[in-house]
Amino acid sequence: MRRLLAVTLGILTAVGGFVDIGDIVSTSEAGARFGLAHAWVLVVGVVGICVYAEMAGRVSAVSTRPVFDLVRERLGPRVALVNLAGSYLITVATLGAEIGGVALALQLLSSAPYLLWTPLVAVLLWLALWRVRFETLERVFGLAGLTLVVVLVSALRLDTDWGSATHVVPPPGENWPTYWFLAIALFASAMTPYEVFFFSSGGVEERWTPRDLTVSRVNVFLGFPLGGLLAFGFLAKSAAVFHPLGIRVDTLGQSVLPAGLAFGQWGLALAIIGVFAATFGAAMETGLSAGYTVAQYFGWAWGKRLRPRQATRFHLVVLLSILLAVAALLTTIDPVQLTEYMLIFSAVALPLTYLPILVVANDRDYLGDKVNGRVANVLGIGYLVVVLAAAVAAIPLMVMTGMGG
Amino acid sequence: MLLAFDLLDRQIVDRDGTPVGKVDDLELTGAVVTALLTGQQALGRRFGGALGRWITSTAYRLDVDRLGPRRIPYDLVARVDSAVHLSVRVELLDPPPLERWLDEHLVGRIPGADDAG
Amino acid sequence: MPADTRVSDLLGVRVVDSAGRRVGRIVDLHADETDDGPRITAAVVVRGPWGRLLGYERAQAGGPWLLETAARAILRRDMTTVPWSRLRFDRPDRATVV
Repeated sequence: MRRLLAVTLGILTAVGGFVDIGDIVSTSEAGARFGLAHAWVLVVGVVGICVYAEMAGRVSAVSTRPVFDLVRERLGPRVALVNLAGSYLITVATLGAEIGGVALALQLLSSAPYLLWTPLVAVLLWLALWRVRFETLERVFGLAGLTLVVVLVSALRLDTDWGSATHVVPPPGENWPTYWFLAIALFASAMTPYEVFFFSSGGVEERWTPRDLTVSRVNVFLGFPLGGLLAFGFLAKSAAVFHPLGIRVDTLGQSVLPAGLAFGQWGLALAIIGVFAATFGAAMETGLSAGYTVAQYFGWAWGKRLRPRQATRFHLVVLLSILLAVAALLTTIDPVQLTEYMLIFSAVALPLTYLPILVVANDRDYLGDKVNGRVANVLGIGYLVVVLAAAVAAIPLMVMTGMGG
Repeated sequence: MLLAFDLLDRQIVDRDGTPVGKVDDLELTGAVVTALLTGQQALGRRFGGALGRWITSTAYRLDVDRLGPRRIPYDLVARVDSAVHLSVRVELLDPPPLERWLDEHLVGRIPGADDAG
Repeated sequence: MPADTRVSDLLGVRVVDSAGRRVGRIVDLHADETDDGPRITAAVVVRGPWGRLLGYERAQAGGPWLLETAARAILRRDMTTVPWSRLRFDRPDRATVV
């Protein structure tokens, strides 16, 4: 059992990257409009985040340095500040979207409007981050998020056209720019930087040592593919139910509906619980990551392993980030759209996060004989190129397609 | 040893591994490094320009006792690897002004501030 | 050099040779451990727009092949090490190699 629980960090990290509220809606949308034509993007994303999360986990297990610590150390204070600004904006906007997402899940269960739930969710989130042990958070929400498996199973029961996964062409009425815009959005959120911030800081929170390298790897190679599989569930069930009817999906309610079609009320209830756990988990991941990045940039004491009095500045950043996220939500901006705008900031944050990880993972002063092998380096460089290409293409595509509209 | 690469922007940790600050600058006496400087007042000076002045002046305003950047004598450095390890515990050093203020007035007053997670 | 300097005051200082020709900018400083603390022995001077080179100025930094090769090529071409005793700081932002 202990061994099983040791992998919940990877699962929670991956849930926050692959099935947070923005992804649930955008994979569902991709499935409804393009069928399974985006399935390969999820595979590319899973491999990419595995490559870099494995490096980040290895570096923090061997040298106990989390990712943003290394970003500042290798890139210097100025370039690192650009990354901090970009990453922080992405993280807090996602945090806002997740708080909104939890509130939307509660709206589906209770029919009280989500804006009423928002402050309550924010208070609950802060209490969890303030009081609850890191391992407990990770276990409860990592495992609860797995109830989303019901979505995948419902896709298997429904009549999905699996062959269309190899048929990568936009269907009639759709065009290539929109196809690529959605592909880049899915890829960028699979590799969103707060995953490596959270994963590597989580390793430090759990006091990983070089002996925990295997734990780190199992977390990566189990957690992220599982997250990708859950995301694939949303893509597939949407492709099965909405694509043949030509229905566009842009709300959370529509996203979970197919689970109800396959398994009735119980399926729907399980899916909503899964969405609740996944979005709440993603809210914790982003809330903590906001604090981790700022504290690690400035060298402040951080983390839940310390008493809050020892890390007051870290807890202040977490608190302010939650308040900022709630303030953004209360402007009644659509929480899901909020995450789509963040694609712009990924253009600076992704390369400036992954380059230092790749460089340090090759440094013998830090890792001794645990430096990258050839496979990790070839994939690392390859993905750096893909990330750069996606970053360059994202903004013109965003303008051309009106954000995939 | 390379001063900019091996020391600047490294994490300073105390003897138990608790973060103390980043090496934001180094104090030189002649050609010898005599102290690590940490805190946003020291960091702002490295930025230069309007942003640097803003960081420095904000940090200066938060530093009510006008102690200047926190100075850690180089004698206290035990070893340098992926972090700069001190030979003392963090409690023996002056706490950063913002951290102390938050402890006394805000975060330290919330119930549960003494419980580790 | 004034008595109380910071390392950041030295980084970025322009270096010229005795004829006034540009050698580059100081990007790092070599130091030896002494009983008083690290003592500066030499300055790493780089020509061109490069600042930090991600740590590739050290032998311990390894692959990926593409990054390492590019960084080392730049360093071989543009980097010189000037002994500290040969640098004269005639202005706060300029040093001359004597």
